[in-house]
Amino acid sequence: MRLSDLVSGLVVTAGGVAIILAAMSYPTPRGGGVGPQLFPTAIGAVLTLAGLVIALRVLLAGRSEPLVVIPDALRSPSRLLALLSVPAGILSFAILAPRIGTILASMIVVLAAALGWRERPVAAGILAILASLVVYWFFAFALRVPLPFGPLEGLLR
Amino acid sequence: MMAFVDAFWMLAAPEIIGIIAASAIFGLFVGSTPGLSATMATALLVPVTFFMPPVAAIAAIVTCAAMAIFAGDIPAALLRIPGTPASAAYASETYNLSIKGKLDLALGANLMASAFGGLVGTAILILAAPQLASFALSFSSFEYFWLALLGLSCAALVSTGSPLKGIVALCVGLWLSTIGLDVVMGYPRFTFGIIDLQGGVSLIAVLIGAFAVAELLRKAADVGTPLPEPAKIEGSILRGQAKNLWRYKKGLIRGSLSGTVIGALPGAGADIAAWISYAVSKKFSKTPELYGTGHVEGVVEASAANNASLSGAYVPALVFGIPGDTITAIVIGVLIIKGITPGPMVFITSPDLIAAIYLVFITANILMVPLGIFAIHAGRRVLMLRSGVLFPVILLFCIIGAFATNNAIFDVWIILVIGIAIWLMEANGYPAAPLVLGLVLGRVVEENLVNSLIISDGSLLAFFYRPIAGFLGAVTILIWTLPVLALLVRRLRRSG
Repeated sequence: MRLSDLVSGLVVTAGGVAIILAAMSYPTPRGGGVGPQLFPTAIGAVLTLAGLVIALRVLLAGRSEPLVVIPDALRSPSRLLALLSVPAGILSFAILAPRIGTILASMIVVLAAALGWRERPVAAGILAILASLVVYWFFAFALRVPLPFGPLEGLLR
Repeated sequence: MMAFVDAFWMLAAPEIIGIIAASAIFGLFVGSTPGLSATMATALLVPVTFFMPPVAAIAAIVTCAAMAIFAGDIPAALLRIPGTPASAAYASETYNLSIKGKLDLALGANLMASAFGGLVGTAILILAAPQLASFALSFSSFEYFWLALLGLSCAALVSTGSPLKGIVALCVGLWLSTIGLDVVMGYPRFTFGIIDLQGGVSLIAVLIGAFAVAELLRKAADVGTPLPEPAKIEGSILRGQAKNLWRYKKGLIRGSLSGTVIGALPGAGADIAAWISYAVSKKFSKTPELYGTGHVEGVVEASAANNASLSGAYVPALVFGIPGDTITAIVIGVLIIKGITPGPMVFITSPDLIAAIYLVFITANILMVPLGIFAIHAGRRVLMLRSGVLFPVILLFCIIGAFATNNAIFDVWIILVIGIAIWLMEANGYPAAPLVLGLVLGRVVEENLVNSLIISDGSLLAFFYRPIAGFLGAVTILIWTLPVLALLVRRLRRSG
């Protein structure tokens, strides 16, 4: 998604102002001196200024450009599906893994992404099973990470 | 000398040899897959190195990065698609060589020049780093504040077309570093009431989000564009290479030296080293008209330069803790997690670790020749791997890797947020690298700023009292004001 510099610059400025406002509420050390507010305030100030300059450059140059451009890639449903399969996979892992265990959640991630990348359903299913088991084995047994536990993990013990 | 003997025995352990071999193969694989960069290879490796001792972790990262930068040349020659951005400078040159039926010459030159450049860069690292380190021992918080700021400024200004957007990305990274309990009073900043954020944002999760998840999103946006059929390799890779390299020895050495220096500059990495060396080679060549038609001269110089820059980047990283490129930014992050803060003191307290890093560099660049030949022949098969198989597995690896480092589901949320944010930023010309450098160095900048202000009782002039600090401060301010001055001069000329 391509934003006009006018929009992105103003977003940056808004962020900078928000950081300064938040930093103002931080305490100062007793007896004066530098405290937790100094560094964020400096960062916020630079962001505010830089964002304003980026936005103003568009106005000063007199460029008239659309505020938001949706690239062609996102207009095609199949590409949009592939694109959405990545955040959807991460999201569903974050929500599901503590409830149904790592292996089942991993299968959903790989299956969704493989289908998004236009893999045939059977191939995607086989990939999901193999990849989930191999990655689980690698982290849980080779690196001994306590991954979220579920019914399938119990069977592997 | 004792340090080298200790380091040798540290590396000679069977598990370390196994780790080096595995990360070499991983690096070659990722590097020769178009769209997967050396930085992504390193970022994917980080959660695994988290469970290793420091020497093994560094060995894995150094080997993987060196192999990936070379392997990026393989699809460049076979398909004209650079496997990593560092090979982009001469991708059409090596591809034209392959059309002329000189694929073996092109890839052989890539391989041997890469190994040579890497070894020259390592030699300079071994010679220069200890000298600089003993000089840097006298540095105080004032010097470190300026050094970190200077490094960050270079990174922000060099990285992309728009320096202003580089600065924005840098500030976002610095802001991310302030999340959590602050260094002075332990006051929670920008935590939004989330307990997981009190310890700060996990660097590894940000790395995975910025360099792997964002990359996957970009790949997903152009799904369904099939790769062309890769060319076949005939003939021996090494035949005639000695003669070829001897013929272009000047360019080979020039590329190795300039690559090392460019690598050592903060913000300029392997890709910039390759572009500059290729241009320099053309400028000094007796036959510049042959460039672009399938001429091996520039390929030799630029292949040497991008591998040399990898070693060069370790000079400021080890001596000052200021990364020279994104890969060393990751290395510094890994070392800090392991309780080692890179800086001149490491040369005194753990000389064996430093010696081990040197030895790993030498080993990796020598190992590159036999493994590289193997990778060139396997490259065709890697290129025929379907993206529908590859990318879902990488995605899963990202998620579990992010979870594994802190055993926290929260880090999975971080890779989601950072991945989408960086994807949007890069689509709009805001680069990712300064953000990551800002996050790695943010605490260093703030701590040294606060300590210096406490020492000087709030006086800003004290930042210029000490001679080296004054010099570094002047250079930093010059770098900040130079673009503005240049703009003013241009405006005045145009109006006058």
